Amino acid sequence: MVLPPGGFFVLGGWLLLFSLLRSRKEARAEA
Amino acid sequence: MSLPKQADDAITFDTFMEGVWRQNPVFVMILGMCPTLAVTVSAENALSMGLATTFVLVSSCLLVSMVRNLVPKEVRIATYIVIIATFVTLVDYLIQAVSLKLYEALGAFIQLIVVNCIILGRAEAHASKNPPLKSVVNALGMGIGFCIGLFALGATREILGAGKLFGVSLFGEHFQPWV
Repeated sequence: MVLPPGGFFVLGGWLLLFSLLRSRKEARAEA
Repeated sequence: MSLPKQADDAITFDTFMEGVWRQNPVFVMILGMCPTLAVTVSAENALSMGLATTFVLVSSCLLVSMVRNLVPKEVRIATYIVIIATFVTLVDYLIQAVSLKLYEALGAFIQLIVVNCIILGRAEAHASKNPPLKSVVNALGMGIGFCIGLFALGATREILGAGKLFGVSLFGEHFQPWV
């Protein structure tokens, strides 16, 4: 079975988004 | 030999939310990546896989928790797999009976729920040390967290790839599919 394309990129995109949200939250907490 | 009982048996909101958000299996623990990447080509497939996994997770955690003091420590993993496989067989036949199209779309990944790290991990790390109700609440949170993760991926991929969500066209007939 061939894996359909795009999964890694979409998962990476979501992980980046959550990472960005977390870093913004931490920066706000420190300020 | 029975496993030691945990002192804190209280069910809190955090017991449920642990899997939904703080320890989300897809976005935080990065567990169950094989079905996550393989079946999330559409929101429908993703949600079906998530619900099937949630059912197996909740049912097996309940049973594992109920027999936790009866099973010898040395054979616990084999026992967990037999319990999980029982519920996977149920789901396998149920999906086959309800929708053959969905069954073919999900392929071997329904049977592979047996070796899903999320389920084995929950059985070993939580259900084997906690009372049934607490295990069920925790497993339900973890299952919903898995559903959210799969749906986020499936919906994004379906929208970007086909311009649809649950088969409904979002951008009209002039949309050029990416795949």
